[in-house]
Amino acid sequence: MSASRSQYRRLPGKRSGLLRRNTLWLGPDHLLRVNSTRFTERYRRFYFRDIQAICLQNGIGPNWRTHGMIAFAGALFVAGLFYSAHQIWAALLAIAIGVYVFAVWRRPDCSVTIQTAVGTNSLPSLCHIRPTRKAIALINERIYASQPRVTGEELALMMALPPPLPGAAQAMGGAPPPLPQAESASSSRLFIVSFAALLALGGIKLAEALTGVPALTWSLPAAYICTLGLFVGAIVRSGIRKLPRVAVVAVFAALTITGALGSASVRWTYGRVVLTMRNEQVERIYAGIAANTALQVTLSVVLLATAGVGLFAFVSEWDLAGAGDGPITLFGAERP
Amino acid sequence: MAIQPALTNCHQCLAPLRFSASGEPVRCHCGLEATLFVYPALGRTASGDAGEAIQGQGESACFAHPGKRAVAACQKCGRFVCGLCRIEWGDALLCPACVNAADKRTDLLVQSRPLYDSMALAIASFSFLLLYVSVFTAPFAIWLSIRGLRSPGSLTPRVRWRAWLAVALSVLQVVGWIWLAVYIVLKAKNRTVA
Repeated sequence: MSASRSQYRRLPGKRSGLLRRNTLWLGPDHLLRVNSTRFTERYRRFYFRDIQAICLQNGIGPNWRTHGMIAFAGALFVAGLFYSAHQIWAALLAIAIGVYVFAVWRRPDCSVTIQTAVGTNSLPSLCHIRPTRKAIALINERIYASQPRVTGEELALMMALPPPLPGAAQAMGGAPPPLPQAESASSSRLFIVSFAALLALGGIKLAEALTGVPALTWSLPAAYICTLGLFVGAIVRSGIRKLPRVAVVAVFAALTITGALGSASVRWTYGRVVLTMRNEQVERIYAGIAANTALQVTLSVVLLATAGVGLFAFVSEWDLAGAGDGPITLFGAERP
Repeated sequence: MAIQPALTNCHQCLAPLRFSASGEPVRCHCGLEATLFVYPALGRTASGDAGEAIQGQGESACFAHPGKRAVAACQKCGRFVCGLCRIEWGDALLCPACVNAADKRTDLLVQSRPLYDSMALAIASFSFLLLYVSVFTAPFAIWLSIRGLRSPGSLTPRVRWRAWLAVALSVLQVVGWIWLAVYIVLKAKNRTVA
């Protein structure tokens, strides 16, 4: 069908990826949802006379505090690589961080569902709030033109007695479901594991600073990377939006320390393994740091303190969450 | 303000959302804010008309269901239809047989369409990365482009530059291969003559 013959007009908003593209089109008497895989298109029509309700939910956008911290940790790693004569790797990592930030920025910040008498469907193309509002305004005009006029009271009466809905809305009945407590506990557990790893790392660092055992020295880079990975995994999985302020500061400090020390220790190990990568000036700085026992012990203490603060924040929060699960009782009164 | 029954579920936590009749946004307990736009069709239910049974001898029967009373005539073929068979098709009223016959010709029932022009362009572009495979892919891309130009294509407005670009790239590859073949043959011939 050529462009001149088409009866459709595109509505604002689209969601596109490498192998997906969702758009919404305004037809003469219906709304056309087009889900494309780039090589095929699937259509779904919603006739204006059948649309009962449109639900717009906003506030599901990216958590910039979480993603900013991940990007900051990555930027620290880039800086470490850049100043340790690995400019190419630093540039590649910087590009990767840029792609990550762009992907986060392009994430949807709202969702729209459309309800008809036979079901509820999502409109994935309406995923950003400004084009969504424009699109809904255009859709509203057509819907009101296609449906009989009713007064506000009649509409309120219809809302009080909605038609039977398929799926969860009807099955769940009156009371809202309980909040997913198990998930929050498991997310806290991830952070607790991460801080436990940081505590172990602090212990290894302290032992290495005091004894100078080579096995400990060689195991440190892997320990830094693993701990950093655990923190990033915990943040990605559960976010930091609901965490208390102390815990956020502890996570931030842990990310900074493991990112900075991790990049330095990886560089040091790499220089040891690949002799051609040795840089006299950098080696001298590392040797100076390694010989400074007081600095090493201070770093270990900082690691241990951060881990302690984080563990305390999360363990106390976990206990509180656990207490909130059950009914509130007077502990002493219930004892026999 | 009276709490209304749930109309839809939260996108994030799937909890039912309860909107007030005043149309104010509500906040789910997971933190998301939701706004509901309600239309008069809310009063309609999904239950269809099963068709009434014939009561007396003088009543007309449905073409497909002889035991059911006819309520209308198909505006295309004129067959009598009962409440069950009656299909509102835009402004027209049709029987299922006419809708089934229209399925092949009208865009109104199309559920999906392949985009041959995009396929052709992807094949023609990616075969530049692996030039050897273009011996096979270039003719295939040309065939796909022609098919894309001749088939109905997308329901939505779509310009045809992809198909033409795919044709141009594929023709370029075919010309390149022909030139290479001629060059090899001529070189071999010259060597034989020498």
